[in-house]
Amino acid sequence: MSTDPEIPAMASAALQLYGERLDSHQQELLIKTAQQLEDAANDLRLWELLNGDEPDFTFSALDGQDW
Amino acid sequence: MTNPLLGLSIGELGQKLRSGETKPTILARAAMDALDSNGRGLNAVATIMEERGMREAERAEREMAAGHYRGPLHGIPWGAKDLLAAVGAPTTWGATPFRNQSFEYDATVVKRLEQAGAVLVAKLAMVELAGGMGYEELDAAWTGPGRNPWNPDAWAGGSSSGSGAAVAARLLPFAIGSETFGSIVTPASYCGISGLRPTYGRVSRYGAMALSWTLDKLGPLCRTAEDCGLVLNAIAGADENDLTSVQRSFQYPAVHQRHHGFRLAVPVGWDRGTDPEVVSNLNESLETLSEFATIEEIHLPDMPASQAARIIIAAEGASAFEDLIVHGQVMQLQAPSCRVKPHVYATIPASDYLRATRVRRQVSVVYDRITSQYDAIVGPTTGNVAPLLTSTLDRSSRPTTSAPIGAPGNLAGLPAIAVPNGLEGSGMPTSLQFTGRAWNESRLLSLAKEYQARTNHHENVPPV
Repeated sequence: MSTDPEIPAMASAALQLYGERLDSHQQELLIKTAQQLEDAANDLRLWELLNGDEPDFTFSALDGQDW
Repeated sequence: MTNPLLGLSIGELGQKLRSGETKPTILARAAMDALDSNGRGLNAVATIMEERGMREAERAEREMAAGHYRGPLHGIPWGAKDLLAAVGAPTTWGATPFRNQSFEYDATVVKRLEQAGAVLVAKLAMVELAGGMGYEELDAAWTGPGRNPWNPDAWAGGSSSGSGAAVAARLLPFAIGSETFGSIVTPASYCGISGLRPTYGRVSRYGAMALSWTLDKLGPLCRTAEDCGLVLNAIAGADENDLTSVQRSFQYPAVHQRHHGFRLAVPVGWDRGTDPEVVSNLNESLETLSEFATIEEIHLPDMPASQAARIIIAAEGASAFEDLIVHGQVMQLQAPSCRVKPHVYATIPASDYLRATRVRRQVSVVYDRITSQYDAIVGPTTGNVAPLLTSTLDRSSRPTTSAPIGAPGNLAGLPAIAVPNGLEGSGMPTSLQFTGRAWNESRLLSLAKEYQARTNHHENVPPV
């Protein structure tokens, strides 16, 4: 099942890692969930980002007073 | 029938406490009795904190007798969503694998309310793990389905179910809930009460269960906007234990409260996918708002905000609960859907997560520009009234029945307040939401307070 090209990559990975603990009904829901996440990720991929568009967080080096 | 005192607002109770008409121990006792007799039937209660509640109430009573008055929350009983660490009760996060979990410290919010003299009497039920595992079933909590005081066969909303139901049923004057994506405003809407989602960073998250570090917010559920302001005033502010918390000025009541001249925007198409009676009540609200505000239509940009939020919450939630997923305790969760979905969330590629956070930055910039031009964006809080407990949640990838600004509002960390704006035909509450620019809670509270001064929807009492 995990190599089926019809199955989203996230579902394949999840089934490979955790498939043994899920029955067939649960595996179906898992695939459906992966497809929904894949749809969301695809929508995001269609949104144009430039190289300089940074994530919405900034790393800051600690100087001994911040932790 | 609960003690009529519990039906009063924080301000009204404060007056009675100061005049000696009632006492903190009487209020605490009344609240705990009401939670025990009525709250359990609504599945709103995780733990009643008998010992701590009475101890705090007795302390408040002694202080008041000695003339030491801590402020408007002094002696007022309250309940904490069961994801806030509090000494004296388990903190179960609503989930079976954590039924026996307890912490030996108080969350910052709990500590600040204690410093304000409020009396913690209960931990309140919630959707397991704040709904972060993608629940579809409405009984997704070890406490059972959150029942709605307006109709116990309907849902109280999630994930702050117990907080919404307990306040609406007049079991408590206020409660603290949390919102990652709708978890304060939805129960406020379905239960017919006022709920304030503060700006991300306004309130310390220290001691609160982490679901999504970059989206989790804590805020009050109360009967009125005025009460929400009083509670926020006590819990807002920077905290060295939460580096995302920020010291930005907030004072309630504001020195110069506005009563008119507000500028509001209504998104074009807000009524799409919205129940007709919700539409009708919102149209009526817009008429009331036009008495003290100008209202214009705006076109909200078509940006993938809900998709970005979905990816971020799933990925951060899978990381926050990685042990639970890897070691299999996720299979002990109540909702069948929650036993499955986290396994996929744990496989979201880093590139997808990072892309979502890059899109988020753009959404934040665009919505800062939009909200800077208005005092608030107005719309229905939820596109429907509370669903029956027999239904399930639609988790399609492109939701249409929530407020059009719900996704970008949460993604950008913007504040919002939900207030009741009427009842629909079967007697269930509908709700109006104001969303504003970051750090502008004062303006939203003034608006909501002015709306409530001209309407009486917040005074409606549920039959249960």
